[in-house]
Amino acid sequence: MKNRIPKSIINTVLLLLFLVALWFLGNVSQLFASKENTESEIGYIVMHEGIVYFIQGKDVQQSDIESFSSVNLMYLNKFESVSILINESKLSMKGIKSGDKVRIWYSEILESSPAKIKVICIEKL
Amino acid sequence: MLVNNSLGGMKMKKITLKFFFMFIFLLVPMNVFAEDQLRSFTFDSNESSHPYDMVNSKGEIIKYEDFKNNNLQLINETPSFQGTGKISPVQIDSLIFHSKSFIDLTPSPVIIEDNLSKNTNEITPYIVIGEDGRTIVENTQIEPFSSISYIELNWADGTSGTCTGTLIGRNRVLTNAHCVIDAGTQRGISSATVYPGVSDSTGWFGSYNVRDYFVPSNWISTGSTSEDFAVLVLDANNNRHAGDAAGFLGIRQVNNLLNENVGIFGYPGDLIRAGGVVSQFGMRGNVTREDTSLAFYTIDTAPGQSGSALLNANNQVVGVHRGSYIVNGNTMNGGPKMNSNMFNFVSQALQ
Repeated sequence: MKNRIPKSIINTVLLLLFLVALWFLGNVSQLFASKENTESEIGYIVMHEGIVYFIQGKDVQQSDIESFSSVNLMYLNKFESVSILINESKLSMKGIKSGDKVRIWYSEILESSPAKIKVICIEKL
Repeated sequence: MLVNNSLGGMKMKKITLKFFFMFIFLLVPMNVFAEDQLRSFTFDSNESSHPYDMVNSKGEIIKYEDFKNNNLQLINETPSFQGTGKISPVQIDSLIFHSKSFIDLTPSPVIIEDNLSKNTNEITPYIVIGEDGRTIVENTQIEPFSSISYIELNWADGTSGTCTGTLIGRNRVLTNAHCVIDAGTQRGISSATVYPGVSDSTGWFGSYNVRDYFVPSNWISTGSTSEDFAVLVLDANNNRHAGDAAGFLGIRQVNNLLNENVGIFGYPGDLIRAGGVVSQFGMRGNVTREDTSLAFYTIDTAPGQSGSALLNANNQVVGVHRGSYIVNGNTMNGGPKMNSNMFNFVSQALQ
């Protein structure tokens, strides 16, 4: 005699799968939509005293990132540019840590020095 | 004899203690006793009912409803003022000729430490669109350039930065709200110094500490682009106000700026680093796009130029440069324009 799975369980699993697929599609479409009106840059993330910095430079070494200091930030000669990321979209920074090379998509740059970048999407490279 | 000895010992103890405390006092840095110029900022958004309510550096609110009708005279611009600047040789000669004792109250030029030039790397400018059209301002001692000010900022978290601002009153400077309050953290600057008309790292009109500032409440609550402007209140230097020495520019209310020629002058970090000295740079161009509160253009700018005024052909302030935007896939620079709401706010802050 075969053990038949109750129909209600199958329906529940199917419904869950459908919802997961819907959530995934929603996220993907949101990602594409959010990237439409954006520009992107590649750089390194530095998390320092609660602030997320985005630094760019040709020869950025891990030691440079470890010795990063916010004091006299604008005078640092190790990097080509140092900016502060504004995370208004409440993007998850899970899995991203200091020293990671990332690509960011942004919609606005506030031109104080250091610049403040409104980040829309962030991707670890 | 014993009494004398013990009295002498006590005296010695007292003197030693006095010297000890004096020594400790000398070891303590003076800035321990100096309060930050600006108190820590606290703001309760529930107490604000209008996006253009004025919030000062203490978090106190002046209601928009209370000041919007102050402009009943239907003015739409404020006057400019030609500063006395440096006393010219002719004036000095004439004073000597009349045998009057003369005390030059002009704040002496301040040499700005050339820290920026220590960076020999050229920064990749983010927002130079096409070929770089910015040129150096050779003479910053004449209007409108004498009013364009370099601002050094110190944030409560210990970081520092720079912005540009424009003198629009004797002791009032127009700049961006994001130069004084971080909308994300709702934290303000702890101190700031303003240097009008800087060239070759020299502040020809002295330096002025920021005593207070006014920011629209909606900037603090939402970080809204349209309300990214602020008015700084400066302390006098040597009993002389910045605007008296350097002069100040008038503001003008505008509805439309499309196709109007505007100039943006300020202190861009990339060119300052490349040149090795703090100098003023700028460019003129047309407004190519606008909405009710923002103007967009392809005039080249860079970090450090936030807060630069948008100057019309008569060098009146018709907006404030903020940064770059991606509009329909194109990079454009832009900032809030002096619409009626902004004009009411700024003219109120001038009083």
